[in-house]
Amino acid sequence: MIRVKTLEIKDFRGIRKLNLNLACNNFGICGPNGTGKSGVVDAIEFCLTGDVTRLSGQGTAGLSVKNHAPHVDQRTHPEKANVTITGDIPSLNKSFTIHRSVKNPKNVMITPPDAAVEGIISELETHPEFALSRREIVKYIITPPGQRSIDVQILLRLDHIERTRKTFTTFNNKCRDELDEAERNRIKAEVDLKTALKIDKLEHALVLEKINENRKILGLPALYELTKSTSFKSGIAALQDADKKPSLSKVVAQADLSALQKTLQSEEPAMLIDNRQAANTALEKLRDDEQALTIARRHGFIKTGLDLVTEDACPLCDTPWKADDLRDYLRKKILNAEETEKLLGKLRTNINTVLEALTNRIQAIVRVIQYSESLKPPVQHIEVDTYLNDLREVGTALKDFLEDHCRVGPAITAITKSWWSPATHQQAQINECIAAINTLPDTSIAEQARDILSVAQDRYTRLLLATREKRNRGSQSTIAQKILDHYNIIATRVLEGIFDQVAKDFSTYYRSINRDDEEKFVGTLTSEPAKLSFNVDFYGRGLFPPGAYHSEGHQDAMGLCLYLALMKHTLGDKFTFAVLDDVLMSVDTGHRREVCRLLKKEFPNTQFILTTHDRVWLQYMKTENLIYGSQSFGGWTVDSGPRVWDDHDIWSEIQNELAKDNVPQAAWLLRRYLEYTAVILADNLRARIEFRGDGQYDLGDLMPNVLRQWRVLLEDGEKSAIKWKLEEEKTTLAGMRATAKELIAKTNTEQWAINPSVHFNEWANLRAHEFQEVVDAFRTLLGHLRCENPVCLSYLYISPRKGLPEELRCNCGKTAINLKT
Amino acid sequence: MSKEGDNIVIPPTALQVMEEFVAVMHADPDIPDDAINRLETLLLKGVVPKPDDINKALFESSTESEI
Repeated sequence: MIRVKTLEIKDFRGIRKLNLNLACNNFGICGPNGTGKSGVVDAIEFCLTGDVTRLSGQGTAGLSVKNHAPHVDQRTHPEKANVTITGDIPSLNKSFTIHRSVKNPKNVMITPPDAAVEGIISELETHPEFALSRREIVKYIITPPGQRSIDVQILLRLDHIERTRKTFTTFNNKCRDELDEAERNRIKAEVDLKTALKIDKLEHALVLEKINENRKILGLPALYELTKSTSFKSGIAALQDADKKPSLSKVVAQADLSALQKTLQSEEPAMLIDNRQAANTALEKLRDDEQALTIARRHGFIKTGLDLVTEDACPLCDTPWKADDLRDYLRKKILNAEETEKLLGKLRTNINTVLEALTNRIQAIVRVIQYSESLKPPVQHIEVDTYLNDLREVGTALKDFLEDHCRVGPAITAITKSWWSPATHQQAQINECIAAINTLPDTSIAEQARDILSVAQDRYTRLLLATREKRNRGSQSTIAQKILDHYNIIATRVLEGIFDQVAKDFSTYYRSINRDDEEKFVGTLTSEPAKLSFNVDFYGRGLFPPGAYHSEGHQDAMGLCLYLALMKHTLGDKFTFAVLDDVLMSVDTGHRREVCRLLKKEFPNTQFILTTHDRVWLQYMKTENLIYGSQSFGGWTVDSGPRVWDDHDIWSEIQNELAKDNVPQAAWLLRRYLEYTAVILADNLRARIEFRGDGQYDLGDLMPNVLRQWRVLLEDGEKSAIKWKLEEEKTTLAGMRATAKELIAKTNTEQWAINPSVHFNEWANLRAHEFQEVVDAFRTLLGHLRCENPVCLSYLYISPRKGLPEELRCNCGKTAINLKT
Repeated sequence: MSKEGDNIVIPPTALQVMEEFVAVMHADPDIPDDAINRLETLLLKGVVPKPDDINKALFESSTESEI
């Protein structure tokens, strides 16, 4: 995978022009909602894949990359919407530039041209999971097991295994069907031979006895063994009749037709009726189950729909439903997999029995037609043809169903069709054929013997062929079943190993984040047919689905941990790049540092790009040295896109506005910047802020209390120095306190609460030189709150974050004010 | 590691399954080695094969010729 060096975005989504220098390091992007953070994520995804999930994924009907990825003012000029990324591919030790335009999203320009680089970009195009939003990441946690199985399979690139498994299953079913067909043909061939020889059982002795009876009539020697190469007609050559096939053997025809007549005159066998009825019941059950599902296709559709029910509405038409009610409703409409499999297995047996009888009947009727045509003059058989067609239609419908269970309707029609007794006019034509055969002149005993031997030879050969075919199909079916079994066992074992390892890593990661209260936490991933169950420990009370008892914040953390575990397994050392878009929105502050440490410790070679709307969270990332660069967005307009906060540039920007005498704009900039900074300082210094239920704090709520806390901390530091008799420290802190008092006074901040006339809301009404004094005062004051080390310049913060304050310190350690007394 | 054939990359896990699967098949006396080799060649193309392709790979030359 790649590491991103620079990102250039032009007229893409809400961004007009933006350049970011990530330097292949972890990078944070912070800004309130609606300031363009996700636009950056979209741009990265677009450049690397040619797609934007937000515009093409689930629930994005009517949206498209081509029409909606360009900035709204350039929507008719997609060629102006471009993203360029420069970066490195560590595994190849190569650098690259990727450029993509919305005008032609599928056309990526990679420079310098390099097949290996192109291969890696192609892989990213097909698996864009490197960029995930909170909604996407939490789906691994709260999604139903069926959908999770699909999502995880895609992430782990396991879909190839599943599709191969399905192919082997289809192949195995096909081989089994062919074996069934071969067995039916063999049985029919056996029946035909027995009919020709007028025997009830197919035993060597009986066959030889009948063959030898006829050979004796012809004066031929007896046969003593029955092998594949046995010729019933051996010796007939000497009579110069060996190859003469009887055009119509009266005696054999009579035997065949007599057997047919016997079955036609009998009632349909109970066994056949039972199997037809059982098959019909099962088919109707399937039809009723699937009636709302349109058989298998809808079966799959409903199953998918069931997995997609995550809200109180139908996932297809948005009709309001209670999610649980909708799930119950859908579940009632489908048989569970086990029941379906059992039902289909029994149905298959019933249908095969019916098909066996049907095949016998079809072959008997085919023979009637052959005899009818052989007679001189031929006997009409148009009605018999119709009967044959009806029989074949029944057979085709049943076989079609065995191949494709979607075809249940025609199968029901076929299984309920009464085909055992032909219609009267059909029976009449069969009778005509029989009568015509009976009126044929009797042949001599010798001729009859020769005819019987000749027909028996043909039927014996057919039986041998059918037996061989059945044996071949049998061994093929055995191999197909073995292959499927082997593949299932291996795939299941490998997948279980993967899931065990992923669950182990997941548990380790999650414990490291929540070591304070869930140090014994474990999670399990259990693969079952078509679903992947995920259960987690809840404070030693047992294993439950993650959404059962854990808070949203814990679920967010689980989502991140599972994603990291999955990516680690999928990509291993190649997991070098990930974009996490606001994924830890709900993780409480107490666990954020642990998240930073987890990412740093476990994934030191992965470049994370993290977006957040929470400035404090960004500050944590910096404090913990997770990110080495960041970009803050302080606002957004449709004309200019995100307003970029840059510590070094904000003061220049304000000066520029003042130079143009644009005090309102300069005042707006200063206020937004101070609001941004005040949140960080309030958190760093643990300032006491009046709580607001809506979480909306303005500058007047924050800054006075922050500065008051700053002075208190300096005083505490001075008291500590006095206690420990650190004279030099005491003097320094006394000086800092005096400076703080002076600088704070210059900003008038302490007056805001009691004197609205000097409130920041009035800044816009000041004249340029008056506001310049305000700007200078705040710039100096904020500098006073930072570490003096020009490399560090971090705002000081209290350590530890919770409990009794021990130290006021900076990131580099140059500033460390002891607070312990 | 992924394997490439005709520019189609077989995912590493699928490749692991395939390698173990082929080894197990070779250890099964009921499955002819030449059939396994043809099936392996087919699977290594990287595209999930169709049932007819599997049939051809496994059985195309195994049909008995004598009765």
